[in-house]
Amino acid sequence: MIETAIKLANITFSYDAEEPQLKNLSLEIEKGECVLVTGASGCGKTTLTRLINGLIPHYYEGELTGELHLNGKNARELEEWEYGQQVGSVFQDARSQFFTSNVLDELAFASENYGLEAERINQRIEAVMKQNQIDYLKKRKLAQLSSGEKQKVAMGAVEVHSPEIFVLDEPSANLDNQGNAQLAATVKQLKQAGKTILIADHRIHYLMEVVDRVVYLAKGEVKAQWTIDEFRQLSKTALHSFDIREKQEVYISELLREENREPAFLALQNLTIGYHRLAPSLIKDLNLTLAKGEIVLITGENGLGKTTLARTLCGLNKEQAGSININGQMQTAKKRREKCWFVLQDADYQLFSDSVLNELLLGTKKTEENLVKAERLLKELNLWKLKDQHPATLSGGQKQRLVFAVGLMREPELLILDEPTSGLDAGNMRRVQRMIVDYANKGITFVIITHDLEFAKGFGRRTIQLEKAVSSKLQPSDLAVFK
Amino acid sequence: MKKSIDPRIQFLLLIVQSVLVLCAGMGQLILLNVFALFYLVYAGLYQTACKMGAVIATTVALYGYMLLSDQQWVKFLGFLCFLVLRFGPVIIMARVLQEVPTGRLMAAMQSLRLPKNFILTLAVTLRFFPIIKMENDTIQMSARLRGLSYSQPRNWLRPLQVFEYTFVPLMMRTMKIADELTASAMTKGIDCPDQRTSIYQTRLTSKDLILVAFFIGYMVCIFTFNFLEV
Repeated sequence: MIETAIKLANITFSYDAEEPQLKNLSLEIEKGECVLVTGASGCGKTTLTRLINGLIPHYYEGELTGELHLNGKNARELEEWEYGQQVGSVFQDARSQFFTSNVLDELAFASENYGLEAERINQRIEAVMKQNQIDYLKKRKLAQLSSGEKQKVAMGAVEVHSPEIFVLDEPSANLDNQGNAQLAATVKQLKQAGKTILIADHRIHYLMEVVDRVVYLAKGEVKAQWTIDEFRQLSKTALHSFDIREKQEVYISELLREENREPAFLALQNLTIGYHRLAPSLIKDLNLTLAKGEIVLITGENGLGKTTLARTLCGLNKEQAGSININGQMQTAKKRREKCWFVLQDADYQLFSDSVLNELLLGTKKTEENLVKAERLLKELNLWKLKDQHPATLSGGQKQRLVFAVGLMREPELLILDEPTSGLDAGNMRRVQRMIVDYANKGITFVIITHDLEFAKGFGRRTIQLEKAVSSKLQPSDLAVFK
Repeated sequence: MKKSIDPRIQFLLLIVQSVLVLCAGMGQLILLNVFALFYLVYAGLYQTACKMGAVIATTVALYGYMLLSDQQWVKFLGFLCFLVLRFGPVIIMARVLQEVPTGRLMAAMQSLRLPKNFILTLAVTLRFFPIIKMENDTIQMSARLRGLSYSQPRNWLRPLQVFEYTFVPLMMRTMKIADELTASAMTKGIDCPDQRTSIYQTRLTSKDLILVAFFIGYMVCIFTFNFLEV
């Protein structure tokens, strides 16, 4: 007999009695099954994961009707703390899912809460660390780990307590291809151990070998379901119509290419950079030229200095050696700050004002001319009808467009984007792509840092991979790789 | 590997030290600072010890110069020296407390039979300081790009406004992180009413007791005999 691990029957949920996030949703997941839930932003994926791990209704309140059974038990009879014994959760943002400050404590945390004996916890930790090959992290502090390592520890922390059901909410958002592959391997191990796994994610290519079933949500309802075999058969156009991301992994080798377009607008000569002037150099002797209106994508592992490069380009850091020229003139850090704009991965850091319109006008002179310009930009980016709202009330995509608009308001010549697609669905990803291409055609040069290769591929432009090395130099061959 | 001092002992020393700092004279204050530096070295925080040592040595030197000089503006600096020397020992000892792994801290607090809510609040608060610092750094960075940071002289004329601009995003981020942290902890059974266990031993070691004995001896000495009469 096949047992059901998760059974949702006619679930309807709304956070604030408005439009329900989940509508009459019914779904059964068998024991030992691995299910991928996907769909556009706001389709109810996260709400579904919160329902299963008990955060709804115990932490996020709202109106809930319908029945949820976990391992045959009605969830209504569960106390809020009892969920955690059956369901382990992994979240998107590593910074905010760790309660403790070092790896060992985090691994032990859940088991300690449930009162397991110390000896038993230590045994479990040893076993999990061995299985996931994270022994070497045992004594490290969480703050020093890379995103990939943090995600591994987050998975490990759940495994130590060994619940029957695993719920993963966008675990791949901050990972590169290598990190994704490791995550997939861990999920595979769990599946072999007979665990039930539900993964909600936009990026799906890395899971193609692991999942048994794909569930497509739209507006809080299950719109379609495929077994993995059926899903593999789906055509590209079908996927496109569902706004689902690529099934196939995009390899970096498909993207790398070298083109030198003249005349050079931005030229880096023997540029050497580091966290600050006296810190060890991260990138040495970098030579690179960009033409006006060019889009360049920079990819590579974490910790190689991608963000430092971006900070140096836009004048937040001073260069250690070499020079940065725009239109043939050397630019000091102060001048660069006026000519460049940097869009961070998380828009919350860059919004300071009390309304969308004021955000654009902040720091500019309040002239008629600026007002007209702000209005034009907001209309172009489809934000005009939100002009009186507080920036904090916008959705993630809207916030990102607003930061973009703030940058455009200053008429920058160079725009730098850091991971613009983390957590975006296919539709929104293409929208960002179109927006960038539009403005590049108007003469703004773009440098985009990303490890989302599918996004990079969509441009078909120059892509550069940073590699770990003492000195980096552009190879004259067709591969634009820093060796 | 850093030597770990039992968190209970650390709290005890921190509290006693804070009280002593308030009733110490200048000569005793300097000796309290010296103790705090040795405490840093004992805890294995050599880099911090060097930095703080330099700060305190400079302050003491400045204080000495101030006593000899009779120019008025130098007297004003005396107030700053006074502040550094008063707060130094407490800040240094609190710094060591930050190095304690969260799990160990919670286990130690629990053995004192403190209420669970108090322990959790304390653990989260200590863990939150570095997060807030990191968040603030990122916000200051984008503020600089926008021309809203204190590093630009034109903003010195409107400090309140600039503070408001950068404080709002910090609040937003902190609230978001606190919310997610709570959610994450809830899925890990933080509300479980059973007695919490710990992978850390909570027995006091002889080393801890020696440290306390040394501390008490040192304090008695510097308060009975005024070594540095200044």
